[in-house]
Amino acid sequence: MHRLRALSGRRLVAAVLLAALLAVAVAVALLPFVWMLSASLRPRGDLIANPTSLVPGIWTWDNYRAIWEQIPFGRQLGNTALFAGSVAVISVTLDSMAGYALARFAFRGRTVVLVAVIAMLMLPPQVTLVPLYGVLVDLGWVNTYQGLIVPRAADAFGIFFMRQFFLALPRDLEDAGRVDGASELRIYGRVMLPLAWPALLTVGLFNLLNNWNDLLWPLVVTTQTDMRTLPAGLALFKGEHVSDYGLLMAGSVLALLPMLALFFVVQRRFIEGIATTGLK
Amino acid sequence: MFLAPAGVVLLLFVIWPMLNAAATSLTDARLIGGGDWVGLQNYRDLLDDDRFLGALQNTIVYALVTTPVSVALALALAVALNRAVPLRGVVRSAMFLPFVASLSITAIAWSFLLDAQVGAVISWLEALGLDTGNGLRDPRFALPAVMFVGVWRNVGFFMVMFIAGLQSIPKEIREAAVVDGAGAWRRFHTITLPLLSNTTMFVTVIAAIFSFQAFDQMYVMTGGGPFFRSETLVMLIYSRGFEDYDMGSATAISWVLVAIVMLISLLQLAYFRRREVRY
Amino acid sequence: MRTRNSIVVGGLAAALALAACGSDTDAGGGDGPLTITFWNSYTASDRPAVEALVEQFNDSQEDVVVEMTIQPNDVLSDTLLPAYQAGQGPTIVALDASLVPSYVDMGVFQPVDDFYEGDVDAALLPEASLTATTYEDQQWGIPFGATPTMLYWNKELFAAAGVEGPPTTMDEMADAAVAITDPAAGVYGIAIPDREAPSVWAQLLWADGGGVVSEDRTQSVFGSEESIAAVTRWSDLMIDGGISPVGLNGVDADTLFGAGDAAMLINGPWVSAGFTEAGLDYGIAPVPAGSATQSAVAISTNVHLNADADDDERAGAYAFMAFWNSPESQTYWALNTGYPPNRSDVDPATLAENPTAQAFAAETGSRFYLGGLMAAAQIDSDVVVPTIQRITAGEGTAAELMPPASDQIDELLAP
Repeated sequence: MHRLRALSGRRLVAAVLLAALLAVAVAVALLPFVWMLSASLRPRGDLIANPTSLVPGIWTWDNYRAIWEQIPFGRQLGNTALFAGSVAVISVTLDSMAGYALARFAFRGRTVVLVAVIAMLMLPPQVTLVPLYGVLVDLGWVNTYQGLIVPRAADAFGIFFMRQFFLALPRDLEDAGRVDGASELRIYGRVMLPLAWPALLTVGLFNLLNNWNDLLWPLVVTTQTDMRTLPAGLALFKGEHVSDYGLLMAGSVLALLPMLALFFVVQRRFIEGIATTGLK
Repeated sequence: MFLAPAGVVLLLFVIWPMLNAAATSLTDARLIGGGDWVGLQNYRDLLDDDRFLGALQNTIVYALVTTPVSVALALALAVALNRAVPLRGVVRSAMFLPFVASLSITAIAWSFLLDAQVGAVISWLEALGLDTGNGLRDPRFALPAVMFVGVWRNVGFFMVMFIAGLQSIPKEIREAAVVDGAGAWRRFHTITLPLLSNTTMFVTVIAAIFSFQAFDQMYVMTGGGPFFRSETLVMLIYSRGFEDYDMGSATAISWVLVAIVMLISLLQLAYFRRREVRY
Repeated sequence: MRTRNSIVVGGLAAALALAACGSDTDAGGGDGPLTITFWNSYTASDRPAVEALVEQFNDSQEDVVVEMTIQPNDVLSDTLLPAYQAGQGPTIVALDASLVPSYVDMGVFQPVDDFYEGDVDAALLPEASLTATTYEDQQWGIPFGATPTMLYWNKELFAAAGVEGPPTTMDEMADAAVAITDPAAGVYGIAIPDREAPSVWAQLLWADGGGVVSEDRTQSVFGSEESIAAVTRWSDLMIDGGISPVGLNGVDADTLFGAGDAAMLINGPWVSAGFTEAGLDYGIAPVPAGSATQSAVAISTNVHLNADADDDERAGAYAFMAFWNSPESQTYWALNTGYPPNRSDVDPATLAENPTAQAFAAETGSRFYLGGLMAAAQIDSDVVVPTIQRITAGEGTAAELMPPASDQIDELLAP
């Protein structure tokens, strides 16, 4: 509280200005979600008749009710969580190992290799889909969970990110471990990983979201309805000519909530991090 | 040993299909089946392909604008939200929300909001006396609009990476600076920024890559139009490969894109290398 | 090398203890019903009717089970081609007729001429669909969903402007559009999309004797005097008269009409349910006749048989398609979607419950846009759409831009 009193006039203006700017930023960030919520809470006819209005003329929960009848929402949510969750966990593990190796055992040319892989990820997924699918068929992995998950189990983005993170960690820690005669795996697991959680969370979150929202990959690998993920289920409300926006948006809002809740929890961890640094 | 598992996965499921695509770019393949060897013909054809050159130009403009803008905005947000701000968690979550949602869905919302006739945002801008032309369908505004949505989408994610980076700055250093009485701007400039350089480098490289990869919002909002004014290379690749079934051309453009991104990433790395902080 | 990687990755997967959930069921042998896999993109409001009819078929007999996978239209080809490439394509797939030449050329379909020797009389099926699925003198598809476009007109806006509707000629349509357009009120006479919709411009061109390609599909007529005159007329009305916003896509145009901001729209039956729910007072009329002809655009989705399908699978697929095209199924389909029945012998009186289906069933004159052409997608998206967009955006006149566009089309048509 004593800090508040210490605020000079200039600082107060700066604080108010900052708050105002943040408010604008939040408004812009949320605007489409206001539209999505609005579309999910009104009957189709109301949206068609008044597309400009962000406020429903008629309020209804029907879309949220109907979504459970129209698609196996719970089942697909479970599939999505299984797919995106396993990919996130596995890829964080593999990426951090690889990133650690590249940061610590680096030799000339490694970065070039890494950048090459990242650049290659630029190939739009559709272009590599045909050969990639061929690999899955050779492995007999079409319509299997491993076919869905393993090809996503490592990614250049995560490796690159982890490498950058490990580069910035002090070397003294692991050197101390080496002096003690600990194995590399032990140093990595016991010393480095506990320090790396903000980066691990970031990579995990990235991979989780990417796969949570992915439509094409699960559709290509699985043709069985009971293996479908949520984006595939929701896509059924999108038509070539006419879409059922109410159901589509209701489903999208519901699909968002777990991820949003997760992020809220994760970012609290960042705050705790701040608290422990004692900064203020 | 640490590299092996990730290496195997990448080799099998990323690099192998990619080399396969490289081979396709040297043929006149339609979608499936081999196609005949045509050497570098697909690449040569690109040189006088107006649609390709237009898409290349749009892609470069898109990357040159959205990369610095989203990195700068993200850094500003991260620094602002790394301090004690009221409702910090809520504000962070709000800023991150665009990255949580599927862009193919949120782009639908933006299409409605930015529609020249029925768009709420357009009617607000008009009320402010701004020239909104034909909205999303205006040849002048189509590309800026999809660029805006690109920044809107990614800024929250870059912000999170910056916050993670800020967390890794040893507390002693910042405490020392506060004790020394360094002002906020001075602390940012002389301590935060240099110590964040690893993160900044990474975010910049990733932002550039994201901007070259942009696809969903063009696909949903403008279809690359009007008359290809907002068509980027990835849009063109999709159109050639999966609408025209000209896989040879699509893979050739893909490899041009890969080459560009590789070059830019290496340049960025070389630039940041000089400033990289190592312990 | 690859085999070794496979083993390593396989081992890794096993180590991660991911239970295999294999696809071990199909490949039916002697006993049990034969499984026919069927992929299509009848999403959104058409989906319930398709699902119900497939279920009816599966319940109606014990020999064949149709296992259906519905995916959005733009994802279908992304998933279809890798599947065909790997020999895992569906037994049958429903696709837009414009794709027939490309897929036939890739060798993934087999001809279905013998289907028409069975119970279903080809003469009863939509001619535009049969023509559009004929390629190199063979029949490659069986009609699944087929409809012409029609003119939707907003009765309230017509009445408010004191205009009698619906227009029956292109001249009347132009006059009505001009009379109803009221920029101050944000009202447009008509909504003319230039992409992602059944081609309205093709109909405007055909009506006055123009077009994109000649009847025999060998050369471009996009640069003809009639084509240029038609585009000049309508683009002038849009630019100077403001009868329609410029650069609309299909959804934009539907949105405008649904909001009561546009008085006319040319489209298929799928939009009508939403307009009714929005409380719009509208009528459905034939596409107006021009100086040369009256013609709607035909929308045609057909079922195609996998080249790898064996005799049993073919028989199963034919049984399903015969069921699909039976009078009972087609009546159900029409009543529940607003599509006209595929069969001309369904009595329109039985469709009274669905006025949309009844109206669309009455429209007979329709042509398929760019059918039977390998380069259909390129001609439309690379040339026709951008040229129209340039002209309507005022980047050049029809007389300047259409002749070079026509040359481009000729190049694409050259074998």
